[in-house]
Amino acid sequence: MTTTTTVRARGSTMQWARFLLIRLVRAVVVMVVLVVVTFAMVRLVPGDPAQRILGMNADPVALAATRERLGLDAAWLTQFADYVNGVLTFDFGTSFQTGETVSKIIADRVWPTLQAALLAIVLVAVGGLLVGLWAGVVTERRRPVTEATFSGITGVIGILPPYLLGTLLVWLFAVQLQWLPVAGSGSLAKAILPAMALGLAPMAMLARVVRVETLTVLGQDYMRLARSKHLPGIRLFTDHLLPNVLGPVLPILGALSATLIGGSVVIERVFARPGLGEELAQGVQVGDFPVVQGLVIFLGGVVVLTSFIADVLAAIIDPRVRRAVVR
Amino acid sequence: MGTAPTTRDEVPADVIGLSDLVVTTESSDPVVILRGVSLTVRAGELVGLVGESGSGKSTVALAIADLLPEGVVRASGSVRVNGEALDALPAKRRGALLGRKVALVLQDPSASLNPVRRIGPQMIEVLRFHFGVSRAEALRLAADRLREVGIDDPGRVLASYPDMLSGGMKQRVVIAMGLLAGPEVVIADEPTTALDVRVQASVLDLLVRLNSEKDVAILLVSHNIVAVGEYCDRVIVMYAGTIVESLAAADLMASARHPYTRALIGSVPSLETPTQAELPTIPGSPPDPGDVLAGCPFEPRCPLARARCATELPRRIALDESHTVACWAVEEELAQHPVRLEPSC
Ligand SMILES: Nc1ncnc2c1ncn2[C@@H]1O[C@H](COP(=O)(O)OP(=O)(O)O)[C@@H](O)[C@H]1O
Ligand code: SF4
Ligand SMILES: [Mg+2]
Repeated sequence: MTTTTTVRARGSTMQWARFLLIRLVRAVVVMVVLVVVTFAMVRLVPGDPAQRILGMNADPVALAATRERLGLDAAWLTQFADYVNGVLTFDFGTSFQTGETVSKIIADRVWPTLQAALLAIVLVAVGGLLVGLWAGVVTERRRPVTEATFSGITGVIGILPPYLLGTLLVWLFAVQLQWLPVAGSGSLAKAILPAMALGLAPMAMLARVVRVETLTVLGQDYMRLARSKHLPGIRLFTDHLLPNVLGPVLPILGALSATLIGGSVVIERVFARPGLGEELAQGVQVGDFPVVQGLVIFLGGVVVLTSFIADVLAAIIDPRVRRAVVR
Repeated sequence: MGTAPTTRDEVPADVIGLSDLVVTTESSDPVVILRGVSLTVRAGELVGLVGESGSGKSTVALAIADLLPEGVVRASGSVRVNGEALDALPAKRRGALLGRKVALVLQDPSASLNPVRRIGPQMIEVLRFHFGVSRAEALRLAADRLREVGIDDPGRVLASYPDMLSGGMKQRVVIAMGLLAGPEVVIADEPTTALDVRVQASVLDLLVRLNSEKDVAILLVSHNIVAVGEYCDRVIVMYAGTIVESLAAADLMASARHPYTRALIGSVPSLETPTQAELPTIPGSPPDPGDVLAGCPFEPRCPLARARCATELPRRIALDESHTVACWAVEEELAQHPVRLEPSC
C-alpha cells in the first residue's frame, strides 16, 4: 500500500510539474511576442523623436548628435539586441525627454494605476462570486421573476462602458451623496470610484457566469448525494458547491483581470490620477520609445502574471483543469 | 385475523413507511407526480421497485431521502424513516436521522462523486460530522468498507480523484460510502443502468450480499422486473405515479395478477430470446404527467379494460398478506370468492 501511495504521489507531482511548465512556456511566449511587437510598433509610428525633442527648426548637426545619443542611428537589429538585453535585466532605458530611467518612472507612477486595478479585481472577484452564487441558489427555487430581474439588471450594468459608469458614479457618490472624493490619488478612498467604474460591468458579467455555473453544479448528482448526507450547510458550500464553481470561473476572472489592468490605465484621466496612463499617453505623443516600450512590457507582464496566478489557482482547486492542460 | 398483538421479535420494524404520499410540482397548475403511494420496507428486507421510465420511482426514492428537487413538493401523505415521521421532526434532527439511517446510491456513478475532491475526504464526511470520528479513524473505517465492496487497494482509491476510477469502481465507492454510517436502508436508484453490462451483475450481487451479511434493508429501483424478481424479497410495481401491485418476489412469475405487471414480465428479453426476435413491447405509452386521470392510469393500454376502468381509480386490495393489487378486473374476478377479498391500506 505504501508503494502504491508513493507511486501516486510521484505521478501527481509529475503532473504538476508538467502543468506549471506548460503554463510558464505560454507566459514566456506571450512576453516574447509582446517585446517584439512593442519594439516594432514604436518604430513604425511616423516621425523622428530627435526632431520632436529639438523642435522643427533644429540644426541638422544637433539632430544627428541627438540621434546618436539616443542610439537611434544604430541598425534596427543592434537596437533590438540592446533593448532585449535591457529587458532581461529589467533595464528599460531612460526617457528621451527627461533623462529619467523608465524604471524610476514606473516606480513613481505605478501605484495609482495598480491600486485602482487591484481594487477593481477584488470587486469583480468577490462581488461577481457572491452575487452569482446567491442568484444561483435563489433562482434554483423561484425561477421566473428573480431570474428575469437578475438577468435584466446584470445585463444593463454589464454593457455600460467604464467612462459612462465613471461619470454616473461620480455624480451619484461624489456630487450628490458626497460619500467619496471625486478625483485624485493617494488614499484608497480615491481609488474606489475608478475601481467601481472599471469593475461594475465585468462584475455583472461574471455574476451571470457564476449563476449559470452554480445552477449546473446544484443540479448534479454529486450535490444530491452530498445533500443526502445532511452535512452542515457551510460544509456543503465550501466542500462541494464552491470548488466546483471556482474551477471554470477562475480562468475567466484571470482574463477579466487583464482587461481591468488595461482599463485602469485608460480611466486614470477621467479621475485625474497621475498614473502610468498619463506617462504612456505622453510617451506616445512625443515618440519617447523607451518609455512606451517599458510601460507596455511592464503592464503586459502584470497581465500575464495575473492570468498565470488565476490558472494555477484553478488547477489547485480543480484537478480536472490541470489534467486537461497536461493532456 | 390479526387480532393477536404482534411482538417486535416476530415482525421486523419498518425502516421506511410511505403512506398515501402525493407529490406534485409546485405551481399554480400543479402536475401530479405521485398519486398516493403507500409502501413499507422492513428492516433487512430487499425490496425491488419497478416500472417504466417516468412512473415515479426516482421521485419515491428522493421523497424518502427528503431530497425532492426544487419545484417539486410533498402535497400530502407522510414519510416515516425508522419509525419517525419526517414532518414531525425539527430540521436538525431530520437531517441527523436521514444522514445516519438512509444511504443513497444513484444511477450514474460518474456523476455521483464530487470531481474536485479525492475519494477519501468525501467518503468520510458522514463519519466526521454525524459521528465525530477522527480523520485517521474514519479513513481506516473507509478502507475497511472499500475492502468489503471488493476493492483490494483501498489506499490508492482513497487517494484518487473520481475520474481516475472506472464506472464499476465508482459505484462500489458510492455503496461503500453509504455503508460507512451503518444505515438501516440503502436506496439504490437504478444503480447498474449506467454501468458496463459485464459489471452490472457484480454490482447487483454486491448489494444482495451486503443485504444478507450486514442486514441492511435495500430499496432497489429498477426497470428490469425479471432481474428484480430474481434478486429481491418483494417486488413493488409502479405505473404513472401509483403502486399497481406488490407481492413476494417468489410469487412474481406465477402469481402476478395486474395486467401491467404481466405485460412488464412479458416484455423483458430473456437469455433464450434470439437476438433477432421481435421483443414483445407494451403497446401504447404511459400517460403524460399533466394528464388528469379519473380512472385507472393503465386503461388506454389495458387488454382487460372495462367500462368502470376509465372513470374509477381501482382500489388496492390484498389478495393475501403479502400480495396487493389495484385492478378492477382482478377485483371483479375475486368477487366470486368474497372470503379472500379485503380492502387494504
Ligand atoms: N423536477 C421535476 N419537475 C417536474 N416534473 C418532474 C421533475 N422530476 C420528475 N418529474 C416528473 O415526474 C415523473 C416521474 O419521474 P421519475 O420519478 O424520475 O420517474 P422514474 O424514476 O420512474 O423514471 C416524470 O413524468 C417526470 O416528468
Ligand atoms: S383497472 Fe381496468 S384498466 Fe386498470 S389494469 Fe385493471 S382492468 Fe386494466
Ligand atoms: Mg428514475
